[in-house]
Amino acid sequence: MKNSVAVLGIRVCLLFPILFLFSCSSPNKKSAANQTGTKENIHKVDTVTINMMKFNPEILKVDKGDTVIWLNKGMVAHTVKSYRDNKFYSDTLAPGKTWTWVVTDSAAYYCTLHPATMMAKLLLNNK
Amino acid sequence: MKIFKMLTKSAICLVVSTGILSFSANAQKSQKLTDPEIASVAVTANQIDIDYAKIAIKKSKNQQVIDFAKTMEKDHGAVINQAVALVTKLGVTPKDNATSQSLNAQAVKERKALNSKSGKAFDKAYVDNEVAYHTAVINAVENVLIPDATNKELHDLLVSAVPLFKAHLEHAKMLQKSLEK
Repeated sequence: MKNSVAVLGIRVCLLFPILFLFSCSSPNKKSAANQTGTKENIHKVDTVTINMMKFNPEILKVDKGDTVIWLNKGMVAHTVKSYRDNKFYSDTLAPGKTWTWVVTDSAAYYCTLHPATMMAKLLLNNK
Repeated sequence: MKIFKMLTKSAICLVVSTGILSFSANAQKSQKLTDPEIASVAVTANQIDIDYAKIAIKKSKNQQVIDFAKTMEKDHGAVINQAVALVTKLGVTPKDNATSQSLNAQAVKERKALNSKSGKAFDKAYVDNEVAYHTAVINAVENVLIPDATNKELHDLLVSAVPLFKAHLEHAKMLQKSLEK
């Protein structure tokens, strides 16, 4: 009986520091999925979903250095092209595919395959 | 609701009479389309626009018209692929019917008319037809095919195709304005 109490005590002592370490590390793991860079220069990662012939969100607030991922969840192929200055022009995005751009400036953009209806904006937070 | 549906079907019959789109009066007036018939109509309607696009890609010299036609060819091809994949999964065989036969008959006439034109006259005829055709297809999908579909997945596929057809219609209207200049 004494032995089993002692074993239980050792197990609790071992388990506590492990649980403590996990509780400390969990929030960091969560934020790493959405942010890149050092503590001084943290950039976020945003996703624009393409579905039902729309970019969602149609207006996305970003900072320079942020990463934007366009995910095509629609039934046909699309593209992502800035209106001016050739800031970016994706490859043709087949359904299920993604395309990524690291933000250098604000930009209004559209789908070259469906130019009459599919348009959206990236706006810099400080503008 | 029944009155609205009757009015809608009457409107489609009116479209038929003007020769814009020949949806069968028999199918629209009284009989509800079955899922195999809806699948056949959906594939036929998409294939018809692919065939128009192929003519435009071959005949037009206007890059905007050619680009639009290439998008029509790819997009409607993608819809057909998804429709075929769905009916294969469901074990449904698309059933030829008066509506799809009527669509094909009208398309034969339209292709003949398009092939008889060239240059700017062809571009105008092609784009005008795309505006009329997509307008009629959207009406038919929204007011006949979707309400008649009984299988949920077929219903959902038709619902998800509507924004695509509306985007095509707006693109065609944009081109129409550009050709007027």
